Amino acid sequence: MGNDFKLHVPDTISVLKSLVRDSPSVSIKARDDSPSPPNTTAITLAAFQKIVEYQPEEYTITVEAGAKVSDVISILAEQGQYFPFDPLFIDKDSTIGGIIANGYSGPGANRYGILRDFIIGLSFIDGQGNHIKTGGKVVKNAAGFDIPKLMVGSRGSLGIITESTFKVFPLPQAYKTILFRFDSFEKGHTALLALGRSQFTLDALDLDSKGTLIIRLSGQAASIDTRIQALETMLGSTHDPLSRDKPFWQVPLNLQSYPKTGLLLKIPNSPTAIAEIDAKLAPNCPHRRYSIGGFVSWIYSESEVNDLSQSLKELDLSAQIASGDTLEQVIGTDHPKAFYNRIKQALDPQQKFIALYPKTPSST
Amino acid sequence: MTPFLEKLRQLYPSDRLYEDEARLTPYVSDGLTVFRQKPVAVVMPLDSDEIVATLKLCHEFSVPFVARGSGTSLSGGSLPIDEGIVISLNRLNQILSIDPDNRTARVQPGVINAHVSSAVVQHGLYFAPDPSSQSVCTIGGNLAFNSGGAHCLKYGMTSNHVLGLKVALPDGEIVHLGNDSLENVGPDCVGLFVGSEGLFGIALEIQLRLLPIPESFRTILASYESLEAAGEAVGTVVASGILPGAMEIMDKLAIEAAEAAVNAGYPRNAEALLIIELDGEAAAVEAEFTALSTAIEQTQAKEIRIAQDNEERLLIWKGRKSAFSAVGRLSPDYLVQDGVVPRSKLGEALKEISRLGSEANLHVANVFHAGDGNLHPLILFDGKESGALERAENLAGKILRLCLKLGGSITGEHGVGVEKKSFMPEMFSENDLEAFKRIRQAIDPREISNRGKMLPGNEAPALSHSGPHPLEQAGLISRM
Repeated sequence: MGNDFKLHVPDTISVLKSLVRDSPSVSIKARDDSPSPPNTTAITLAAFQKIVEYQPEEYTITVEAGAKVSDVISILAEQGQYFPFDPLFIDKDSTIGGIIANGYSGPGANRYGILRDFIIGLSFIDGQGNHIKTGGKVVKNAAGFDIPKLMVGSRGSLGIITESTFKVFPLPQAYKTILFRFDSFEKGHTALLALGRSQFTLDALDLDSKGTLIIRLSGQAASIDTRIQALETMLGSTHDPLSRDKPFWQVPLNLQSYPKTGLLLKIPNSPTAIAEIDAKLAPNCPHRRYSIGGFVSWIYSESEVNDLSQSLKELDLSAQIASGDTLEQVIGTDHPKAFYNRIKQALDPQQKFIALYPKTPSST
Repeated sequence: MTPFLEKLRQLYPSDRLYEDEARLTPYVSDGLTVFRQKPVAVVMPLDSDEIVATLKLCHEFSVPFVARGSGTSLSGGSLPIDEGIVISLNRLNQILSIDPDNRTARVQPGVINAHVSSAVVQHGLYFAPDPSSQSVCTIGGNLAFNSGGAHCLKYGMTSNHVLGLKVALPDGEIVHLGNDSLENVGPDCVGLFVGSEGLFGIALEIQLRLLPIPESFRTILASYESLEAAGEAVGTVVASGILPGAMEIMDKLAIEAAEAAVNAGYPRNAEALLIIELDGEAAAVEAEFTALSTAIEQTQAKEIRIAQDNEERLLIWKGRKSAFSAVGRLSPDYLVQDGVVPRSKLGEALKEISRLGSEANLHVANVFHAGDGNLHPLILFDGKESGALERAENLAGKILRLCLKLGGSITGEHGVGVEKKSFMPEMFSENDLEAFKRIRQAIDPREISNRGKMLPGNEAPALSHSGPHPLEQAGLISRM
């Protein structure tokens, strides 16, 4: 970005629509330090922070995309409710539109599902400047194409999210986070798989690269100690409590704020694949955390993007770049994008929004 | 059409290609029997290659097709298309693999919903979506219409239990969506495909997410003096911060019919019945049960019963799941809607439905998923009576408009299909529908894949009275 960089702050939907219509290239600037593609009209949704509708008894909340995630979490908590997908990276800048576009769900998503399982309505501006409303405001709805889900993880490549409705749940009465330390990564991984198949309904089930299981239970306070005893019986080992002032997702990899340097990757994978991933990435990636019951790997590395991409290709995996000084969005195995490309053509025919897969030629 | 049929005959032997009246007749309607349409032909592919070859032919000749499983759609979703063919997927009924450690199963589209859970029970796992027709409906249909069931508030719909797909697009191109994880890199294309009502092609292989069977259940029956009181009780439970696996309400007509049909042990003198089920770890369920009992005591329940063992629990559910066909037997014909209202508007909605029913001089029974505001008003009528079907349809339309007015949706789990597409412009703006159409045309430029469903535009075929579906008469399916 040069000296002529200008950040647009539209304050109405019609100004936002005009900006999209009148600009050859548009991007949403989510954070002050996020890299912006050159020669684009950079927009912030800082003027769109309203809570549009919140009736706690409905278990739904509708908010504008520029609303701060931390504010929304506080508003929900005042009514004894929460986002069960456990949004990540909730620093001062994190917005609702940002967590949808990036698809950030945390360890706590293990119990009820990830962000895409809780998004039920969404409005957005498409590449032609149309304001489109999809989904609904009730917890169950099967009318029309499920565009709210499509937008999760789209990283702004299909449209500018302006408003969204989420399903929310009652906040559990009590939480407890505990650690089970195993003497090898392999033993920890085996325990993770066994717990995933078990009847334990764990709020969070994560594994670190040393073989420590990080478990969070939630529910009625009266039941938690009994449930921990049952866990100890099953695992044949005793737990370490984690102190309250040290939130568990900071151990060992901090998923609460972006690292200042290096690359942070999100890799979707199957829980059994973790052993191979850990063995392959250990030499170049000092911090590795296997989250959401082992379905997602968070990997921190100071290596070159291309080297990491090559390692992922050898594992036949793709990764989303969560943070790092690069304009690359997705690295690793380059799966054919025929379906996505057709959707992109429908919603952004003039390619005004970012290209998610810059190296993939259109197949249509 | 002749050159197309000639090529189709080269693809299929005559025992898997139906062109004669007698063999086409069972396919003229699905679970929504008021619509009928004869297809040009029905084909029964045995594998993905045959499906792809069929789609390429349809694309070449611009012949529309509908993929069909067991034909239990309640919105006319699998109704044949004029001048089109039906691709029957019942022979693609293999569970391809089960991976207990990753809690997934890879299945073909013709696999029956309940067969997935029976195949994985030995691993302590199950497939969560449980539409009432689960003993006959197929995964392909569940996927196309994002089917629900009684446990959606806590566990979500079909969409929340599908991880990856191998899909044949309407022109025969094969694409892979999603992966083996709960998470994605890039947009959630699986999420878009699920619930697209067959407009994006045919799913050839489906990677399903499985859940561990809960360790413990607690099922409570509470009876009330009025539907409104039962609705208020749901509000009290919700406010107590407990998240039940299911919350269902039945009205007097439904209770009596279910009792007569399966003797579920429901209190017969109740005006309304609330079923609440807790599930999870034994210790957690017991603690929740204590909290739930306290909450229920604050409501005006006439009587509270608790299932003492699994047998009693299953009987309660048997009554609930058979309620619709049981009520249906009280009347020669019925229509069922599945509109959704905000939970706090349930009382208002039920009162208005009752008023509209009286106005139309039609009986309406109510059995519904109270936890997520998903109504299922069952409109009883006699199709042989002149004008009765039109009156019932008219009432159904008023109920859908009521749901929209109260801030809800025209469908919670049955889908739009043919039946509700004329209501789409009342739920979505022209702009929104235009975006749906652009996406549809990008995936299927010739609009051959289940043409005439979901998106308004083409006229629906005329209504006709044809009585219950043969499967329904046999007691195999119910409309919920």
